[in-house]
Amino acid sequence: MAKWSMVIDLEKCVACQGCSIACRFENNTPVVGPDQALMGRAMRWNDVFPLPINADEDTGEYPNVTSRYIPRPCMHCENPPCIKVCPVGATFIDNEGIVEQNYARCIGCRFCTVACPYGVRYFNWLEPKWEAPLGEHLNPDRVEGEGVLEGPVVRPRGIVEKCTFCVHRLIKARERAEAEGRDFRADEYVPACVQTCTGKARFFGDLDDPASTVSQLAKSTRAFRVLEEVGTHPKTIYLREG
Amino acid sequence: MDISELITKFFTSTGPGGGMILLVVSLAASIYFSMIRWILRGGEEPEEHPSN
Amino acid sequence: MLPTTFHPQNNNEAVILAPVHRVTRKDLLLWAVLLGIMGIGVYAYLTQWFTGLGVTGLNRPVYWGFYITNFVFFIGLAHSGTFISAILRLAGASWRTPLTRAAEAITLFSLPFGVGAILIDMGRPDRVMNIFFYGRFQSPLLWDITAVSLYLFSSIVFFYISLLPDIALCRDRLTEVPSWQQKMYKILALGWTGRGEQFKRLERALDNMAIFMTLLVVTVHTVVSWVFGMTVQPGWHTALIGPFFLVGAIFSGTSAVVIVLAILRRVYHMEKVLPVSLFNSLRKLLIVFTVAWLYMMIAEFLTTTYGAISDEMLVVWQKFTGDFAVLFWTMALTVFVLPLIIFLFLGKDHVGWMVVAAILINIGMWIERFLVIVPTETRPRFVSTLMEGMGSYHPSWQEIAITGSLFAGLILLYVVFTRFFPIVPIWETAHSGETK
Repeated sequence: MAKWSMVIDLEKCVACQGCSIACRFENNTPVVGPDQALMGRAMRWNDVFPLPINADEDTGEYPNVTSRYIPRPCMHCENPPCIKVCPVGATFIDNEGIVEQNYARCIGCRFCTVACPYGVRYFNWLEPKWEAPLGEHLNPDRVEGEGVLEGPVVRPRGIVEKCTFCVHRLIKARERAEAEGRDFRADEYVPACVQTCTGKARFFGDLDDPASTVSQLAKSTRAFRVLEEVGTHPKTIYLREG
Repeated sequence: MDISELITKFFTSTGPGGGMILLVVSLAASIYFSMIRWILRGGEEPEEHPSN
Repeated sequence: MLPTTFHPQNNNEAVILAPVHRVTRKDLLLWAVLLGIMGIGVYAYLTQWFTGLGVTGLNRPVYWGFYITNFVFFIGLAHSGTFISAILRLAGASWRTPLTRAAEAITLFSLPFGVGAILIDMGRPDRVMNIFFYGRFQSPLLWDITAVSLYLFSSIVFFYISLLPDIALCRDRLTEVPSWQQKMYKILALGWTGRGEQFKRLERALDNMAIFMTLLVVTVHTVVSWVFGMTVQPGWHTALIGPFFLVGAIFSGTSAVVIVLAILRRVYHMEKVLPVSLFNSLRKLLIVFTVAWLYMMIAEFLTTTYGAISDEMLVVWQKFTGDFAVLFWTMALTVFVLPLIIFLFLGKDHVGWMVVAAILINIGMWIERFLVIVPTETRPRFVSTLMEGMGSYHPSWQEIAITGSLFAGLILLYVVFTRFFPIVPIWETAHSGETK
């Protein structure tokens, strides 16, 4: 079984937020408008923000300022705190290590959102809506099975959603390989953010395959994982600058 | 298998689920029901020294 | 049916039964006002139902606010009854008898609103049954549901069986009340006849249940705290959170008993039944709790600030000097400083001062619950709060109205109850009269 992982090279990242946009269009994330965004309700499955993250922390006096940017998809932890606390199993980790959310089952208690130390989970406070031209170009992809609804399908209000490493792309790639009567190869599947990355800062692949790019990069001396001390074992790995 | 793996297994498995709640509550219900009946039946047998 | 039903002789029977005889115009007015407040809450909830939780001030990262605070507070309030009744029963403290029912009634009538607060907080209340269909028992939320529903259920039974002899008394004595009320007593009395063996078994059942109820008090509030403690968030993830919540719960619950007793004493003229000595006994208990609460506070903040892990310190500073400083220091004043002064120097033999302190404590404890929950959320480890408006929380009118209506509901259930059932146990307080 594959163990999907993403590596983000902060040296190459230019903080253009192209990944955020690609993610939004790939996954039909609702646009909340400026008033809701000011309340902190903007949905960014793939966020890009400056470090340090809050105003209390010292960033230095001009000209000796330290400020960096970090793109943040879901960490797809191997020990995800969100899954432990979900009362109905609406969020789950599949056998390839992708942490997913079942929109058909979520009861909107927001336990997972407060349990996630990375804040990657988003709640649908209101009915999702799109401005006129945006709403006409929604991604028609969806993942539907017995009692399961995920992928880019338009989410109802009152439930939690999150980055899924574009799991619908994985399913599609598998189906294509099957239809063509050949084996599925790991490089046939990348999430939208990786595909679009301007600086080619993102890499994606199978961490279980020692020959894969992500496995190689994970061994780099620059490699680190965010909040590793919390014991979550993230599968999104960063390469620090310099 | 190391202990952290075991713990992770436990927390990510399906588990006994909501049935557990029903089990606990219905167990309590049956105990309380018989308790109340036991209280009310107190002194029901023909008493040898009818008091008061 | 059984005209020979035995009732223990209680000299204060007339006083205790007086409020049960009739519903006055004043009562109806009070009920109407409380229903009105609840109506506003219902309207507020309807707007939330049709628009979504977006009508609240909740956001990212403050996903939990007033509703969860209410949940914790009402469950805490519910510990008064069981604490006073069960633990003092086990300890053999006979001064407790006149106040047991008044205390237990707080438990019974605040628990449903604690449960309600959780349902109100759900994004998809229509999917609540998923908890049974797909429930994962590894989630602290399911521990909560199990513990709270067992607690609610057990409290009802504990309350009901100790009420049985008095319902039978109402059935036999209150012949002038409306026929539906008489019928209610007759059904609820379950054919109680007051045989000596029945009383003996009742006492035994209550004694045994008291042990179980005491365990439940500890379990329930610890489990409530574990909803926070089981996450890895700074300020929540501490083993102390369970005992801390428990002490707070018993503290606010016992204070609530003081308020209720004082009101009953005043409004229903029960000065003889609920003597000042009761308040003096409660005063001693409350002094212990006030100090216990301080101990918990010191244990928590000393550990956190001495270790000074940066993630934790961000939350601590939010409370000490940050956005929540005013609330935090108000809380310290109303939960600890002022009540302790009142209890030590003014409260003895003064019911009025005791009530002032009890009200201060309950306001403070609500704030304390809020401060456990929200400051942690405003300083997340990895959510950028640099943008204006991020990492803060301003409740909307809906949240305030719903909070108000929960309190109104508790009061409404309470006042209605006191008009139909004796709020002071007649059979339990009769024993003291017998020994003369």
